[in-house]
Amino acid sequence: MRLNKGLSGRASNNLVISLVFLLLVIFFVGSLFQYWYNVLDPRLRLAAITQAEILSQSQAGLLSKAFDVYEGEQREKALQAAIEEILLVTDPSIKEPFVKGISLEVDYDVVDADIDSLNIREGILNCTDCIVTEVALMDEDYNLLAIATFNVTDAYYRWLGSDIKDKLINQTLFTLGLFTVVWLIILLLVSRLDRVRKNIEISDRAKTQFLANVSHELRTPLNAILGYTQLFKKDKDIMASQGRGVETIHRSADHLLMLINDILEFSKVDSEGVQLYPKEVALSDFLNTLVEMTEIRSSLKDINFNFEFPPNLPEVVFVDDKRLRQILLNLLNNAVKFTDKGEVTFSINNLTIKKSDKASFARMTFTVADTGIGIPKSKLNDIFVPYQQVENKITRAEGSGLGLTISKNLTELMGSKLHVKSEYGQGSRFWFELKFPIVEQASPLIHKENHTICGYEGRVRKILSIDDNDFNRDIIRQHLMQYGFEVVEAASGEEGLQLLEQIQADLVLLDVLMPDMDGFAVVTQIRSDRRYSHIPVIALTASTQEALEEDGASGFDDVLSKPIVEHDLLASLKKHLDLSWKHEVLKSSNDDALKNLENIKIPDADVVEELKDYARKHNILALRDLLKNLETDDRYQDFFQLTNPLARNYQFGKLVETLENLQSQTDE
Amino acid sequence: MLFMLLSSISFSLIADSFTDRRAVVGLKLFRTLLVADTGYQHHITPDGRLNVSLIYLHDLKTASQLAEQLSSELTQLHDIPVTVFTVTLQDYLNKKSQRSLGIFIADKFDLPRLQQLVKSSVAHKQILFSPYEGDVEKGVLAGLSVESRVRPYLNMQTLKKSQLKIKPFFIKVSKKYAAE
Repeated sequence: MRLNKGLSGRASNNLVISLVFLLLVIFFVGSLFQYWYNVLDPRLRLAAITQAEILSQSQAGLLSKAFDVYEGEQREKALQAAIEEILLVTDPSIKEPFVKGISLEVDYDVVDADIDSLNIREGILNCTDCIVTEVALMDEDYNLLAIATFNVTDAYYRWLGSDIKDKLINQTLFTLGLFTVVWLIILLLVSRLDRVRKNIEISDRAKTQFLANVSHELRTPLNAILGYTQLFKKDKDIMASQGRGVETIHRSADHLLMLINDILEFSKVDSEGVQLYPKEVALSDFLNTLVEMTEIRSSLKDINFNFEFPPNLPEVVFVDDKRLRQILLNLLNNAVKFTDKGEVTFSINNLTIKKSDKASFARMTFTVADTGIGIPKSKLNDIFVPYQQVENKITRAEGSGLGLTISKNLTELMGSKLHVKSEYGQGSRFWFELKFPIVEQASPLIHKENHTICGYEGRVRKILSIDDNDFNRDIIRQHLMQYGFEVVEAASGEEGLQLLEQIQADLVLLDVLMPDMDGFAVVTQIRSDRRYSHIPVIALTASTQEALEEDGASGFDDVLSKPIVEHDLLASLKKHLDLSWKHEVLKSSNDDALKNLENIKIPDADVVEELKDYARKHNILALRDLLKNLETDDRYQDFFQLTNPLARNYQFGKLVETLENLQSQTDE
Repeated sequence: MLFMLLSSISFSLIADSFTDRRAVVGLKLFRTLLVADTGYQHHITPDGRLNVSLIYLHDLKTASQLAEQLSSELTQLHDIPVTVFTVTLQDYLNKKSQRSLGIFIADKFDLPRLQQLVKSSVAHKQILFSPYEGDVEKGVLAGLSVESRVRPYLNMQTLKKSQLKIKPFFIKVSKKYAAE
């Protein structure tokens, strides 16, 4: 099928090239015809007529003289002799007489002669091809004596025309020959290019396969790490004793996963193949993650990092957070990388929110500015070219040169344009504008701070988990059991199909890449059996979603990427099992503490003032250090529980307000 | 008035040799045309003469030079003595001059004046000849066509309107404008 498609593609290329050449030839030959019939031939004809008129005028002098000098019979003889002489004159180039025939029409009112005696007609007078000219014969007093009609040969016109036509035809044939040679060369080149393209495609497919394998190998252990950290985070006892460690492991693994994804993305040559997968995203959480990551990087380089977000940012928007994060992280990382002193500023400006009955949209400009090395004006256009980097000591050492190209492609994919302004030695500013749909009623999973799922309504659902990796199965089982699902496990495709006959599964979670019988084979069997064809099958894969779609995942009801993110898994289960979640409302320790401000022991006034100062300056690192010192002091545990979440979530204004409230309570 | 005088002077200054040649050659064709007019008898004056006028607007000098040349070459027409004189356009239109067999335009006229002159010449069955390019197309009876050879140039519509009787010989060798 692919081969046929390729052949027809090549044939159609050849056909298009041949048609273009054919049209060129038709146009060329048509233009020549037009040139000949509309320009050259009429000009030659006009030149021939002019030549005939001048010739007639000059020869008419002989006739006028005969009228003037002679009288009576002598005049007739003189006229006859003059006519004979004129008829003798021959054109050497065509070896034909110029004048083929002459006739005289005399005005006998003026000329003293017998009527019709001088109306001489000599030579060929019925010559159809001749150029006929009439010349007035006058005496010295300008009396009109007669009209002489000359039949001048058009041989010169024909000879000249034929000569030019021959040359034109020769030139045309030569040019057509050249056209044919060029046409054949182009066909040959296209054929070779086609062969090269096919080789590149084969090599590209091999590379993609290799990347998919690497991706799988790297993601599988991360799947286990992230799976367990998610489970640990739900265990209050573990979190009480090892919370920071679990958080660190989770965050590091998550970061590592993101780096792997980014490396894979950078390695992706065909960036046009990228698809957007928008989903509900809590914007402040999203921005906080970016800020936190950039703050760490900038603090390592001892440069300031500022962020300015408008207070009325929408809570939840519908966007492909992975791609947006990729763009922004790339810009922020570059800004930090290329700034040795000064600051990096991440801001959102020009926020406009349009609300209507049907949908609401937010439009905003993301800007990343730095006071770094800047880009020379002459190099500004090169920075978006793949593998191109502005020459400097930093880029010589690191970077693939694909980051800005991918960012530019992604912003364009999102319907925007990445702009840059830079001054060499002063810094750079990158910005782009985006328009998102605002999610008014976000899914409960998005607002996870105060609500948590504890189960579902109705009967117990039975899930068949098929995965050859024990860790993965274990994580899935632990995740699902806490919500009340019954999980049956199978370590291979064959075992899964056998179990399917024994149990009445409500849904199948199926690993795609398994030895012997892979996920595609299993889902094909499930779909072909009428007894199970209605059961939803969700694919679990460590490959990229795009890679899975390229392989044809039409048999699956849904695809989840490993490491499995719990709320993605729950969202998919809800959709395919039509579940209604049960929620439990978590009481915020922060809220409780706020109600009992008077009971909280606060540190010394200078420490509180220092905290306020850091909060006002948005100095998150200094805040953290100071709070970390307080955490170890049992006296300030309540104080720490109250202030630390505010600092962690960058609620600096609220933190200052809380600290002031605490101070005022203490004063009272 | 001063403006008109200045413009007339400047026109004379820029009149090139090509225009001068057209006037001289045109004068000869004018004479041939007068000979070819077979209805000349109506224009014989009571004292048995034929009048030929050279009309000008401001350039009396050129008109006089051309009149002198014409009168030296055209003393008689069909054995009738010919009087050549110059007349201003204003005098001609105000009928202050004697009626002529033919009128030679010796000065470049603007369109309204030219149209007045054409109208008058047609009404009086007079031959009106202009050596200036483009005048035949504007209604003047005759002029000259300069291409590979010099030929008389006739406005066939004006010829028909004026009911002049010109020898077919002359018409045959002429270039025709607005021929039916």
